[in-house]
Amino acid sequence: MTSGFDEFSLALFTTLAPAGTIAFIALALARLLERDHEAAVRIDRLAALPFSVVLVGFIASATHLGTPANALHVFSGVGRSPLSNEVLAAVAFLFLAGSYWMAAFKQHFPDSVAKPWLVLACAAGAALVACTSLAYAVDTVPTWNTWYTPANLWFSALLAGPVIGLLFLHLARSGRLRYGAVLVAVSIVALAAGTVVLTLHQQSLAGVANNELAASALVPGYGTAIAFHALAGIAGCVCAALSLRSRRSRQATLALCGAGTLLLLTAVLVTRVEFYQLHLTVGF
Amino acid sequence: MTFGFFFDNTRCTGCKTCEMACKDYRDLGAEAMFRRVIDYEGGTWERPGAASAGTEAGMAVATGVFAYHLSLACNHCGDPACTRVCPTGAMHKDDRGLVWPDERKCIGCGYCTMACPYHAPFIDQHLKKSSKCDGCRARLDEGLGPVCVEACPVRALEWGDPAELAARHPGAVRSILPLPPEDATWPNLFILPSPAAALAAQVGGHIANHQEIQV
Repeated sequence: MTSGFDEFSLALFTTLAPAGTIAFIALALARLLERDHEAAVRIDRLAALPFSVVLVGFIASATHLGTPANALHVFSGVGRSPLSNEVLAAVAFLFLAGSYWMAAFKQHFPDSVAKPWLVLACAAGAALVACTSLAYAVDTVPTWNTWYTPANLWFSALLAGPVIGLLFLHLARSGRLRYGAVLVAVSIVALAAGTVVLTLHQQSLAGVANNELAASALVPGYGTAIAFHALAGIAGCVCAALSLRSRRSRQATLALCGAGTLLLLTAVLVTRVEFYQLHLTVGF
Repeated sequence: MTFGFFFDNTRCTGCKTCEMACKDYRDLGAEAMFRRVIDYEGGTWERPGAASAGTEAGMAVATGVFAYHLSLACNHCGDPACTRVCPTGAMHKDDRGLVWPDERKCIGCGYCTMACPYHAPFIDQHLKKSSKCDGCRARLDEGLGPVCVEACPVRALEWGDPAELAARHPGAVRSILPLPPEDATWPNLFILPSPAAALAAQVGGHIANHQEIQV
């Protein structure tokens, strides 16, 4: 029998969607702070990219559904089911972010409209990351129903998201070095904190078991995955930091930041796969 | 109204007639089961010690070995984990207290399969939706009992109102190994534990037929 829980598609979703959301927020903040109208328009045009990252994640998660035709019934569970809350937040974010991108093509798109729209989209984005982080708070699954789960998801999003945002800002030729440095700093802090939380989570598994299985036996490679996460994370952050040097050619800047993005997404994905392997109910 | 099962752990021989009757009635293939029989084993024995070899007492094998069977379907719980997490409300508890997925609403996300500590729901690969024991609600409509209960050759299964089942079987408990603690979902399952189950509660044991029960 199958659980229908397609682990890889969900690992991909929880890697891409939160990171893409944070990347959107990074772009939005740059847009809100930008005083040069031309530069602001260039950022607006590229708002489609983080939106697409989230959308690809969302589509990946939908592939594990057996009968997506009934999907509209998902909204009947809002407030009760964590999954419904997550889907509502995702739809709200995708609507606000997508419609913003399209509306920004208007010839006259005043800041008085653009800025509140962006702030709303960012709030929906934060709600999406929060709801995704809480989607596994199921009290019959002791390996998931801990504070490590939301903490890991937030730190993963804050690790990859800012560097993806930086890549898109490079593409938009938004060359604010100081802001770029802040984004890389956020990723570095998230990497350090995330690695600590992952390690604490791994250690906590020694005390978790049901009547048949020890939780640690489900993830024999967790330690290796955490080490890979840390090393790929360091390499990714170094690439992103090197892309900030102003004397580099555009191609080198984009190549470095693109490599950093891939490294960080891979670092996150590896830990997300481990997370889904940790499924264990009380009992047997 | 609520619905529950009673299971006499002292009578069950592990013949799996309940499981097969269910499969037959619900037309389930090898890959699916609404009811499963868990074989639970444990304990150990000691060889006669060399020092006492030759004596009558020394030749005896001291044994604490045990084995028992647990016939388990959906327990139509008082606080079902599956209905709590279901995003569409497809997995619901009806007026009779039966928990079952409404296939007009189910999206086949598998969230119910992840949450249920009894592994009752699963995703039917043909329907692409959640599927599980529904207490034989079609048979109940006809005034019949669940097919597993009626098939049991040793009358180890009963069904009915949980309060009546509990009153009829005062020694019944709602959890024996390897089931979760009753307060996880408040299962409407009442078990008369065998001496082997009481021993298992003290010394522990393990499921001996993991592959067979597909968990």
